[in-house]
Amino acid sequence: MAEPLRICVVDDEKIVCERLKPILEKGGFSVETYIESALALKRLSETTFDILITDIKMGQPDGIELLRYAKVHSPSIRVIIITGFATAETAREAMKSGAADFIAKPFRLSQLTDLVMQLAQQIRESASSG
Amino acid sequence: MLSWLRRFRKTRKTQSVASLRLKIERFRELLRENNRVLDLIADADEKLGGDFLFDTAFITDLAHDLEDSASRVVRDLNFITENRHLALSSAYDKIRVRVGDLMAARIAVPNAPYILPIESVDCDSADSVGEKMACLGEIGRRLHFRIPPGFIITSQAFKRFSERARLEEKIRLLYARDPGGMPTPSEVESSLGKTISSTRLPEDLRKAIVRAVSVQTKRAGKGVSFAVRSSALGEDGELSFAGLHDSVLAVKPDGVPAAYKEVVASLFNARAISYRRTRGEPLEPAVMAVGCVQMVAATCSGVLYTLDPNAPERDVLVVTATPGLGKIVVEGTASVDRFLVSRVPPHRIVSREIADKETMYEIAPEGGIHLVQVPEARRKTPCVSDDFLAALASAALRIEQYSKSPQDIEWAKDAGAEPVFLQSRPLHVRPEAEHTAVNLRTAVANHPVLLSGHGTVTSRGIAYGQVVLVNGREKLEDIPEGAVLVARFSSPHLAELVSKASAVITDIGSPTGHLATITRELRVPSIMDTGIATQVLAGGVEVTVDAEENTIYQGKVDELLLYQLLRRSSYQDSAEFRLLRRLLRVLAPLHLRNPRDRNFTADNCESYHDVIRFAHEKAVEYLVGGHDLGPETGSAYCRNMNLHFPLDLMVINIGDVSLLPSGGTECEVGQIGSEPLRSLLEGIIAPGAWSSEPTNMDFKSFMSSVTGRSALETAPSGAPPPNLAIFSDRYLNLNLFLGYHYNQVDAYVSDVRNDNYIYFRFMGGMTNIARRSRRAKMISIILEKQDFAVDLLGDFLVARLKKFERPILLERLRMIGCLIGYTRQLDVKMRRDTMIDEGVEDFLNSFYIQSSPT
Repeated sequence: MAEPLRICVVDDEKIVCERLKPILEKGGFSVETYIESALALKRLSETTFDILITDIKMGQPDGIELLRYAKVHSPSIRVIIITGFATAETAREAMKSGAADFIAKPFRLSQLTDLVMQLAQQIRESASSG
Repeated sequence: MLSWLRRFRKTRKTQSVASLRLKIERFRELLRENNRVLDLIADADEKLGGDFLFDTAFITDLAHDLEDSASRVVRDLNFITENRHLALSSAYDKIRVRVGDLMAARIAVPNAPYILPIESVDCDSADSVGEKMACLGEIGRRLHFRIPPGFIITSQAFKRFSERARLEEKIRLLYARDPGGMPTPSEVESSLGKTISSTRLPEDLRKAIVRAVSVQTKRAGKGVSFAVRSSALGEDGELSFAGLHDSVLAVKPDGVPAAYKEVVASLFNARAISYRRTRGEPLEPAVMAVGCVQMVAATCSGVLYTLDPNAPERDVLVVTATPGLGKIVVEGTASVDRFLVSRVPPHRIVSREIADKETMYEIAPEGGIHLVQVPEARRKTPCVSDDFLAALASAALRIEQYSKSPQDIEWAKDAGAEPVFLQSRPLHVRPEAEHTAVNLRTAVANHPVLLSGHGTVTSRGIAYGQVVLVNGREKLEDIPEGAVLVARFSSPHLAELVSKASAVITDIGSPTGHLATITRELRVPSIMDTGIATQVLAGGVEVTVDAEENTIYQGKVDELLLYQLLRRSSYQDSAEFRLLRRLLRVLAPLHLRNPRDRNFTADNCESYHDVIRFAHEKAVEYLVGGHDLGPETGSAYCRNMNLHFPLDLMVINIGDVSLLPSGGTECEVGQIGSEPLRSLLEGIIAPGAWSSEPTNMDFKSFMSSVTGRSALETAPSGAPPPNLAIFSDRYLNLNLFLGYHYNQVDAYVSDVRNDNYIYFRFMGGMTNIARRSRRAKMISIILEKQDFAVDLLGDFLVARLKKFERPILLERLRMIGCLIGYTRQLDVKMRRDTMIDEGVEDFLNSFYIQSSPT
């Protein structure tokens, strides 16, 4: 059986990490969660994840900074931005910086898992074609 | 006074359509905000189903939005009624302060009596009675298992006592005087312990406790004694204070007040203080409720774990048992019997270890408990029979299923056949490494998928059971324990069956409907609006419902069920879910239901739901009560309807002038430019809907109509208020007084499905309350069958239908028109209960179909 895909979840609201971890693990992924974005940044520098799911409005670094760093360090990483501020501007900024998609709180868990499953499919397809 | 009244009436009579239109504009705003509050509450309630991810910001915004809408409703009401309800502002302010306290994480002690009987509490009472007693009450009240009779001395009583003892001030001083600002736990215990023991109970509180004890003593007879048990707010819930606070056992009736103080003092014992500090919990908001339950005359007692904590994958429950009282098991100071019981019915005994039991605890004749020798004959024999263990296991698994986590349960056996439950709390079990996601995927791959991705998850969770197809007419006893209920409609009638279900699936239904709310409240997984469940799920088939992935598997997927039990914590126990639940407990309950009740006053509004209910009622009462717009009917916006039978109805257009024909004072139904009004009137004038023949009334009904208390006796005296419809192209507000009963319809119908709604209120009648209630019941069944959510209280009914497509709502309005005509004098005929079903049948299957346009 193939190694499970690796997902990093970063949100300073503990409940986001606590709820997403078991749900994504149930979907067959290996999941690490961080409520401190600085620790997540350190971890991103040490290892490679397939998908990063991050809140946008956090302390230093914020979600956009994390996204930019992740894309430089690991260009193939897929990033989903979560935010409570569903404005067109933040969405545009996130997408311009290389986010694969954007989701506004509160959201249905199935919306996020559907999104993750689509990205996982893309990752597996590009791995088999590459 | 009389001259003032005459002046007032005169002022009102000369009110112009222009002034009325202004007020109606504000009334529409009131309705908008009223509906917004209801929608926000419904939306928040839906979030508790677990299918959404939300954070504290969402709850803060919700509290703010509700506050904003409720304040507008209060302002609008006072504008409409010319400041006749200023008291509502004070009630609103009080609620706002309580919400502020909640959001600031201060424990908001509800305004409850000092004493609550245990039969009256459930998990909604946790802020009054503490988690431990709330959970015990829930086991008795919702699951119908035996619990000891008794009462709870509430958090409100604690507040009263702590104010008398000036506890908050003493805690502050204690910390301020300590050089390091952090006295040792022993210092806190000693200082506050002294304060509590030297403070006399306030007289009103002491009397309330003595009265409650006396009620119990009268019921139980002489010789009764009590277990006085801690139930701190948060205990057994968010924080596990297991064993940190004291319980006093076998307390004689006259010792209860002193035992109460002893248990309250244990809130500040050194162990509890240390525990709070390690968990970062401040001391000040600590609040203690105290349970006072009758001691069980236990022949044996024990503890049960619904899973083996050391080997959770084994499908067994662990039961320990000892003769007499259970203290030995809890203390672990002597040998006890130990059984492993299969979790699968019929719950066979997998293994048994029978100990040589030398000593046991008994109730001492002088009060308290003492150790005695176990009689020789009982020492080496099992404490309990296999049949009793099977009954205990079955009940414990039901509690586990209800609580959505493995449970640690204290039980006792007395002379009765069924166990008595003393306490139940979550059992902490570490998930085993091998239960990984990969295993789950392999496990589910072996089971055929019966349904996937259809409809909406309305209450998250995983469950297993046998499919039972239902239509809402079944009685609770017809439903086997743990059934997966599958129904065509999300009828509110199913609500009473949910307590026995392991899951609920429907073809049609909304996440904000009554049934969805009940499944969330009872934590029963549910999926609604699947469209096809009743076609693909056959009765009797065993299924596993994964209401997380929205998938139903054939058979029992053990791995999924174990995964659900072993999750470290349920999302329902997270801080955000607890806060949202608490917020809804303050904001959502409706206490003011019946406008005829003398408690229906602004001062008695305890929730925002009450505020909007009160405002709506009073605004309508004012707007429809006593307008004389006769001279205005010639205006471009006002007409009398010509319905071709004796019903006066004035219509006022608040929309575009083109919605009414120009000229004249009368108007035909076909000339009305408003779809909702036209549809409703088409129903009223449908062939046969409006029989103008007088109904024969027997003498009893006649006398009742003359002397009985009619629903509308509180209506303004004098001439009845005019029948009035206020409308625009998409909006309708109709108030119809038909002799002795009152119909109100408020509807908005557009192409935007989410904005659409119908509210229908009905009350009163000319006969006695039994017949009026039968008619209201009949109407409620008809409406529920037509997808309405209905609240019924005697002959007062409120029905709501929301977020349906425009053509459906217009048809429902036509149906309501028919129903208004059909049921107009029906209460006179409702002599027997069987006529309710006959009426439903006749209306839906015969009358309504025949009256429909072909």
